[in-house]
Amino acid sequence: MTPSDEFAVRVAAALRAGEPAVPDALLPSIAARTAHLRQQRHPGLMSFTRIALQGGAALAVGWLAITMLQGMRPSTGPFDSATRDDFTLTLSVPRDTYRVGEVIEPVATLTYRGPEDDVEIVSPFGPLGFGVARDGGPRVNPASWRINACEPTTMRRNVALTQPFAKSFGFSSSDPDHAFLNDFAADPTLRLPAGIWRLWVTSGQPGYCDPGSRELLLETSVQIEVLDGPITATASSDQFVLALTTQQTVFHMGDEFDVTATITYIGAGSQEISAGATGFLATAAAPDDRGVVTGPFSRDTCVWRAVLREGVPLAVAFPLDRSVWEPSPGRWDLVAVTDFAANNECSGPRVKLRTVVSIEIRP
Amino acid sequence: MVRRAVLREPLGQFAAPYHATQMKTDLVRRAMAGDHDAFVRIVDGALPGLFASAVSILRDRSVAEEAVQEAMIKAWRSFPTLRDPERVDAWLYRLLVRSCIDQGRRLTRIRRQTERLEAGAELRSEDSTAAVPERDELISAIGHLTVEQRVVVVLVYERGYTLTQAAAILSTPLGTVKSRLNRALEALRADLRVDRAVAEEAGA
Repeated sequence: MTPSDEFAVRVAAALRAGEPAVPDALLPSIAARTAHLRQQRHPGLMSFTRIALQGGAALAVGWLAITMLQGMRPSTGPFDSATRDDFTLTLSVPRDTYRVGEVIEPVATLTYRGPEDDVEIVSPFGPLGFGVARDGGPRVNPASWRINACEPTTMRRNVALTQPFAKSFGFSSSDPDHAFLNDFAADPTLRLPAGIWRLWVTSGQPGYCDPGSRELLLETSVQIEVLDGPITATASSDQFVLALTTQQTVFHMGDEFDVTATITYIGAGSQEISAGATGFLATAAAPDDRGVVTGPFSRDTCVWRAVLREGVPLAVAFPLDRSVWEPSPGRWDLVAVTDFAANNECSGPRVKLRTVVSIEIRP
Repeated sequence: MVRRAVLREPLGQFAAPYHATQMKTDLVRRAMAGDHDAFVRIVDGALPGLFASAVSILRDRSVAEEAVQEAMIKAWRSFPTLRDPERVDAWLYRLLVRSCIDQGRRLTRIRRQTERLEAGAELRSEDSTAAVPERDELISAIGHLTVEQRVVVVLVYERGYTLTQAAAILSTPLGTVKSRLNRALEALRADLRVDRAVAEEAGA
């Protein structure tokens, strides 16, 4: 674009005068970070391709299964795969960081893409086994062993076999990690203590099954981090930051909640705000989309006015009124919402922000 | 229109612009089909412009590096969904701008006060034309704009996109882009006036 006046010409000239050198490591880093990432495929293209190539209702079912797998594949979480002898094993996790107490849900898939219509594979667990290991430590288990070890599994070509996390294993009471293993075995879901963990999936165990059978030996892993301590979720606009902080993500019935929402003005100087009926800052709890509002900050239109100074947060504890919300066990989303100048009668900037942290209430 | 992101041609095999354009389109199609080497070559060609824009927007080289990396990771994952292979540059800038806005807001929150001083000093120290006082003042003043204003200024004045193209890249109405640009210019003028008044006062 041609700058429209002399000043804009000077701005353009100033910007164009020097172009910084690209750091030497930038391109190799991008290449390395993308090399093993799977691309997102457009569902429409996939359905067209599959229907065109194979046609028929049976294969439409196959497409549906693969589309579902694509849907399960997280767009941003860790992912890795291994391929050998026409088989591809993948492991994915929705996120790369979790909080202590959060359920981690890895998903593994195994796909056969060879020339045969179907093949049989054997493995002592059925047919994929998971494992977890602290960063640099020994693997805790390959899990989900079967009673009928080495029972064959039939796989159809191009039909991905998917397996969510499962575990079943034994351990000795003299094991130095006995306390962790005891808790780990008692919980059917995957929850891990704080630290860096590697999750594994394997399709076989060398030498365990009949040497004459087709035992597929494939393995892949991803790394996650489990965090402890406070968690803060934020939402921001040009001038305001809304933050919701909880000191822990797992509470027990009767625990005091140490959760705070803050709104902070990050512009220059100060800013007067006024609020509509929902107030400057409201907090709410919502399990499974059924909301429980724990108390608005104000109730009357525009009566709440305040001057926020740059960098000085306005804080609201959560919940405002414990008698309003006595949570039952389960997972809850804690929500903080700002709604300044919610109607035309109020002055000041209009700012609607919303942020959420998830917690679990245990009996 | 200034376009500095030039595709590097292997072995000088394709010298004519048409062939370079065609080759680039071929590379894009290969990247869309999952060819990682083709993707890396596209990024290689676009990187100087992308990185320069990120530095101009974010005023911090290390954060700019992170923004470029995040944008390119998103680009690789989303390549199969690219609608128009011939407009891959605009698409990459769209991803970059989003990444810069995210990083910029984070920066604003974390170190609003120190950002201006550090970034201005850092850019000046690397700049071959740092001896030009007005450019120093302008670059410093651009650092005082909001991230959204900087994005528009960089796209239009540094990268040479039209307002309509910038609006498309930002997925923002044309009127919003115009008003952001006007406000940015007003803020720059005001900033320079204040700087000069302070300098004159100090001189007096």
